[in-house]
Amino acid sequence: MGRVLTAEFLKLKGSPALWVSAVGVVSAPLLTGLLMGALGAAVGWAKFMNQSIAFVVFLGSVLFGLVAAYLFGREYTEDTLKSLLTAPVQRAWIIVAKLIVLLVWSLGLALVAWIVSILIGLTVVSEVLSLGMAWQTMKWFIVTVFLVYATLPSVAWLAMWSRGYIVPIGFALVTAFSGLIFLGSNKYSKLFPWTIPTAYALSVRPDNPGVVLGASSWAVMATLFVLGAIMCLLHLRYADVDK
Amino acid sequence: MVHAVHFTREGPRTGPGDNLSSSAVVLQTHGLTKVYGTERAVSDLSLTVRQGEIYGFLGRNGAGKTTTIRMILSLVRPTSGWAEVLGTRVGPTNPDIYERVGSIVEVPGFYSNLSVFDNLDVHRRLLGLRGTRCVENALELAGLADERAKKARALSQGMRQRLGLARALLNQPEILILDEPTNGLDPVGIREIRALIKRLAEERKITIFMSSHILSEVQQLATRIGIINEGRLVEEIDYDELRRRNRTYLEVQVSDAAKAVWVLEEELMIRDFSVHDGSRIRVYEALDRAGEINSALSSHGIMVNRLNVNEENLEDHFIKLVGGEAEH
Repeated sequence: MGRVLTAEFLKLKGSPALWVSAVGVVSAPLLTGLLMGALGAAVGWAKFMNQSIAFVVFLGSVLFGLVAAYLFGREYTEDTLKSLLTAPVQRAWIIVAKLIVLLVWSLGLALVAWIVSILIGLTVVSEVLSLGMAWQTMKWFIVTVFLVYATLPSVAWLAMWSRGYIVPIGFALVTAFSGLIFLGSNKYSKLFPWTIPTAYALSVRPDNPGVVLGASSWAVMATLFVLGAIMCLLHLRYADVDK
Repeated sequence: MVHAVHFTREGPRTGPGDNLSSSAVVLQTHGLTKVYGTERAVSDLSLTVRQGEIYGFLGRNGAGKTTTIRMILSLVRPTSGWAEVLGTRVGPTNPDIYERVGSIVEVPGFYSNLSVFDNLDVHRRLLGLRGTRCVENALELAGLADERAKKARALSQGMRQRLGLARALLNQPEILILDEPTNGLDPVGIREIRALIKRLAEERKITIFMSSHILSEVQQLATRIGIINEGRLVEEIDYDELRRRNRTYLEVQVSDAAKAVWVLEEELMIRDFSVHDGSRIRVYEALDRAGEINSALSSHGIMVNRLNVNEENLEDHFIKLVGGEAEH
């Protein structure tokens, strides 16, 4: 397992996808800064960071989907799958290693977004940033991105199934917008997996709790993650590599 | 059209495939079959490769060579049948066998953002090999030592093929499975890769299973040949046995084949011959009567443009089995 994981990390060396995704995620706090600056009103840390997370989730649904499509689809587009599968490693470990890299990458992006949000917030937000608030907002970012991460194995499977990027990215776009549609429904926003991360992001704002996620929401996300991962495992186990 | 191609291998065949009928079986397929919808890509294919052989898996484009190789490497699931490599039945759940196997399937793919060295290093890690000495050795062997820092996206087709070979050699495999290893290369590249394959077999005693649609390639390298046509293995034969079996003949190129046939049959009482392309006659008997044949034809006003002794070669054999034309 360790050797697959180190190989997976090495594959990212000098990859433009790393920078593209970082720039993409940084645009969320930048937009927040612009928005808050334009409004001109005094804004607190909780509201600012919460707005930033909301942008991260919306942009991120596509952006993180892109990362997942890249990690899993590149083996097909670069035609490297045949050498990967003729290495002495269990195929299941390949999927597990990729999912770990995807998690590290996603959480890395969450941290980048949080750090940039803090930096921009220091110029926009009127109140002093307490350590407690910094810690709490970091937790929001991480949990939100973790929820987005749960939707990614299904994107990864689509990348494998379609042997490329277009279908999974299209899927990520569609789910991002459909997530917005369900956001208005108190009932379905807790159950539709592509709404749940946004619902969570909005629920953590102290002045506007919005929809509070229940155990069923977490169960939905866990189920989607497990189903997506199983589809990936089954695909690599059974699908012919004949192109 | 049938081309006259001689067995032009230099010197006696002293490759590692000699006298190996009793050698250990390294690769074996048992009734491998792959059906796509209603199309049978590979049909009940059973072949055997023994230790030290260079096995030339010969067939036209689309004959089923790549599908067979993909099944042998467990990239494609057989509809029925199975393959054994180094005594282990291959399958997606027992990848350990790949510690002892090297392979290139069609055009090798690489991570475009990584350098030549890093691409090999990724595979080294997957193989679980310690230290980068093996990467250095493979680069050296494939003639890529000076290209180590080059990004894979900047490599020419020839270099990609060589990098593929370097990757396949990282683990010092006991068997190399190569699918059309010279495909897409320029003439110099083709010569280099062929020389390298030969060297690997002779110096490192690596068994090589190599598919090709190029007759001359198989003829130059293989110690044993398997011919596949329309998904079926039509013959498996040692190259030396093929040579023994092939017949020597006198080829006469004449201005009027029909008249020449009459002269051969009625005047010279020669019955064992065949006519090719309407002007070349292959005479399989009376090889010592070349002068007599020449003067008899001339005396009937038939112009003899060429007369020489030839031997049936792999191409003739291939066409006999498969029909049509072959590619050199």
